[in-house]
Amino acid sequence: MKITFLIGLLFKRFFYNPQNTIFIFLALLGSFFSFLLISQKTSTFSSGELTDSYQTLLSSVNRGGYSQFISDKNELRKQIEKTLSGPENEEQEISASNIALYLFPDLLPESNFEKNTALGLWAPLQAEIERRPKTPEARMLYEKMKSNIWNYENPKVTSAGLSKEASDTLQIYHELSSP
Amino acid sequence: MKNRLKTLLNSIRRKNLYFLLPSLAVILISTGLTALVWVALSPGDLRHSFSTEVGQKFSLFAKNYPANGKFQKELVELKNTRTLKEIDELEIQRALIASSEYLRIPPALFWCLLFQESRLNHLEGIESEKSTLGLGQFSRFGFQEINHETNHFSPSSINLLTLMFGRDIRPVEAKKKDLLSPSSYFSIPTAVTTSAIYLNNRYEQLSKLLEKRSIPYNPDILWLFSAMAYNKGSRSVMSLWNAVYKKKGAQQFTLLVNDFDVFRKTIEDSTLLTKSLKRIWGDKTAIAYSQELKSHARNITSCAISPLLQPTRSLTEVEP
Repeated sequence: MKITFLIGLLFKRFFYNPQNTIFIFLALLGSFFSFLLISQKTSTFSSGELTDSYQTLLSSVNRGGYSQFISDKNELRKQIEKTLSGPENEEQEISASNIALYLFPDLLPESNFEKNTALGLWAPLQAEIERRPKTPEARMLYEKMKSNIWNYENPKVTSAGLSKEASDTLQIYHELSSP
Repeated sequence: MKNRLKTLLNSIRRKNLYFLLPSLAVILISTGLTALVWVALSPGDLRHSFSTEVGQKFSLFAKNYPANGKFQKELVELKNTRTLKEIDELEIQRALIASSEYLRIPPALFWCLLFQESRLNHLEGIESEKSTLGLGQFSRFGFQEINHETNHFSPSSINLLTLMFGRDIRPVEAKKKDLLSPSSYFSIPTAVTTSAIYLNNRYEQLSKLLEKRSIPYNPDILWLFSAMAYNKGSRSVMSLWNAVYKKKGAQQFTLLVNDFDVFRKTIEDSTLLTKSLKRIWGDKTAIAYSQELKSHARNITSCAISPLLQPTRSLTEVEP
């Protein structure tokens, strides 16, 4: 009873001064925005969000041409990098790793056996296609890349097909290399 | 320090303890030698010597193949029904020995792989619209690799074509109307040679990864993994490697590429195989693919590995 009375007294005295009330309000507002900023910076992306961003790359070239594609790809790279550095669950880690394998192999950890294969077999071809998009040379490089990816995943061309990420990547570079 | 040493020597001189100096020298020298031997025989080096020496001296592969009863029976039946003609079998064997010798492929493994793929029918799929054809069940992407990408894996392996045919016969294609052309995959020597190069490419791909990370390996076990990669793609093998490395650690992974028993147990572990393939494909495909991969690896292993290393063998199958 006494404690409640004391708290009430303190509260009354503190808020009696309008300057204190404004100070408290500003402090609360500041902490709210800081919380928002921090949570945005530390949060990773769900596997669904990653897949959605990956899907937008498919239409990037048609939507806004080469510059749009590069901008969307850079955005996706940031998301993948963030997710790989601290995935929330295994599903997210798998999704980010699979996209990284076909688009940003340099982001994969050194312990991943697939990293060097990707860096040797399709990353250089992708870079070349991006350097001269929509040219006959780009189309030749795309054919090479397609063969390398099929041989890597499914050399017998069975009904299993390619993984979703491999298939989407081929579709993206098909668009980018079509003269 | 100098003063302390002088004091020590003086006290030794005073107490007449010179006799202790040789004993001290003996203790120091023997401790040094023990340390040297310890370092030389550290576990890392022991593993390395296993992979390079034991792996090469004692081959895991059978001298006579097929080493399993199942394939032996099938082979006899194929010959009896004239599905496999003697002349074709001889031609396959001749090209197989030459290719294996040049690329250092264990002949038993290569023969078993071709038998598993096509039952040695060099015209397999010629009448159908199948995506894979011939002795080594090549797809159009396989031809693309042989014709344009082999330099990426092992530039010298193309010399085998010149050695076998007197010239570079590429582009190799599935020429249905010109079966005897050296550039046709339906011609036996061409099919055997190009399949050997494709298998060797898988070996080069996998071995380079291990060497880059300084992981010692037994070449025979790596050939078994290469045969798996030939059939189901290198990605399936690497996904399995990633799963073992992540779940069981570096030491167990080193055992996987060095110890045949660990290899056999791993490829029999359906849960691990399926889990590793689920990283690539959806659940249904991953399960189906894992069963196929397991069955393929089991068939190749039982056909190619020496009967002495196989647990379920009758005595009649074991070489004296």
